[in-house]
Amino acid sequence: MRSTPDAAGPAAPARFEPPGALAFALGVAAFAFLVSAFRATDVSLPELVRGGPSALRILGEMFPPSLDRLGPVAGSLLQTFQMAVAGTAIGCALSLPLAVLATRHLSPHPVLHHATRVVVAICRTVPDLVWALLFVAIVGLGPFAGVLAIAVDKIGFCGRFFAEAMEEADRKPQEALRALGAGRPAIILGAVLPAATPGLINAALFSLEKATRSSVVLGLVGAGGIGIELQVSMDMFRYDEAITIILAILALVVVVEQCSAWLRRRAM
Amino acid sequence: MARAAAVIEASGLVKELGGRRVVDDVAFVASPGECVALVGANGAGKSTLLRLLVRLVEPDAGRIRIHGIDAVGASTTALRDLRRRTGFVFQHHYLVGRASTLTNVVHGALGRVAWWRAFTQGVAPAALRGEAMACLSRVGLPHVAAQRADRLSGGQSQRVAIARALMQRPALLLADEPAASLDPSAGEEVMGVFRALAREEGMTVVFTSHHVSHALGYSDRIVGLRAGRIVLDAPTGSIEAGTVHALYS
Repeated sequence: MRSTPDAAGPAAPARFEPPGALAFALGVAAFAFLVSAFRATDVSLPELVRGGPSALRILGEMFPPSLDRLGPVAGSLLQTFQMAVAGTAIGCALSLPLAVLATRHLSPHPVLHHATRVVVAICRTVPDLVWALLFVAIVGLGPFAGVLAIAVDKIGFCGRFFAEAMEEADRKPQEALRALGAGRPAIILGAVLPAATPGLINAALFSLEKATRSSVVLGLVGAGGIGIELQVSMDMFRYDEAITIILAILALVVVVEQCSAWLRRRAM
Repeated sequence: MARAAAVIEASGLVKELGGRRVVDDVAFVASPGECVALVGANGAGKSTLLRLLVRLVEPDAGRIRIHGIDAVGASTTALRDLRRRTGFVFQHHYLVGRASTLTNVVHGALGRVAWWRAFTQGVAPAALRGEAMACLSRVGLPHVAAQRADRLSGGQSQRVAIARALMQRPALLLADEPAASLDPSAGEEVMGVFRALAREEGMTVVFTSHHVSHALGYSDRIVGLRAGRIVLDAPTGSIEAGTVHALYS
């Protein structure tokens, strides 16, 4: 049997389609903007190379890590995680009713559905650092501002994903409960929530992971937690202390992610 | 039987879906304790007719009285009351898969008790849990009460769906092809439960079926539909199997 194709077969299509005039113009504009972005932000490989010795010096000063302030660092780390847990709990609790209102077929009125979607989108679109600055101004410096910032941020995240989980929940048991005369609260509690539970747990655990990471940064604007410890160490060029804090944050994030992954597997 | 005592009285029912009349000027009556089989080919309008009766599908025209309540003009509250007194068993059982079997049966009471007492068996009063266990016993499944519903077999799931309907304490049970997704023996079991409910407890049962043997073996009356119209309505004993088979040709 011949394995080579027939040389006289039909012509193959062109390897590449030439772009249209508009696509070409947009491509050129995008490339020009990319070049201007590199220039405007002083992106420079030589600068990076020149910074190499400084990087090596800082790295050298980081080791061995200092354990002098291990107690306060551990306390701040615990507070960071407590902020994340409290903020996530408040955010998830508030997200549940908002998600019901944001779910098209569960919302009592289309206007309420759209209004809730807008509120959730605002919570999600504004960065958590901005929420933290706002709450520091409202309730003062400290972890409570951080908890509030995380809670609002989680409303944006969980509100959306809880609503998606409820939208995707199997409609057939809901129809069965409607057919036997159950009202909206009964249908939500009896059929929607049990079906959406894996999605809800997934979103809540992801938001706890995200909150643990972001609660580190919130300290930098005075919203409590270990962030402020890291900032002080860096400002005082105590890189050996800084690496201890960074490693502690890394350990916390890894532990939370691993526990979260285990719980997600259990919830499925 | 006296028409005044009818559990279902429907007349002039019309429903169009996708520009086609799937139910076309249907009049239908069912008396207390009667077991009626609705038969007909795919698209004949059986399932739509059943859903129209409790307004899971809104009729375009016609009158429906269930338990003496005007279903078409019913307010939200009256419609919920009507549905509460009418059990509906779907083809694919429609159980809440992640909930326990007992919770699914307790759900049957959601139309007649406050939602916070029946959305899960964990919060249900002892009397309600006991009643749910009795309903499970009536379909022969008290031993699966603690099992998750998505771990039941097809036949068990359908019997649990019947138990959930019984929990409504209905006078009327509507079943949309309840044996269609079951193997033959599970289908016979389910149909046997319906016959027992009609004969022993005086419940009115209306079921749709593609199984001619189920219609002939388990009903008192057969109503045949073709292209949305009733073309056959007679006591089961007076109908030849060939007459029912002809509805599918």
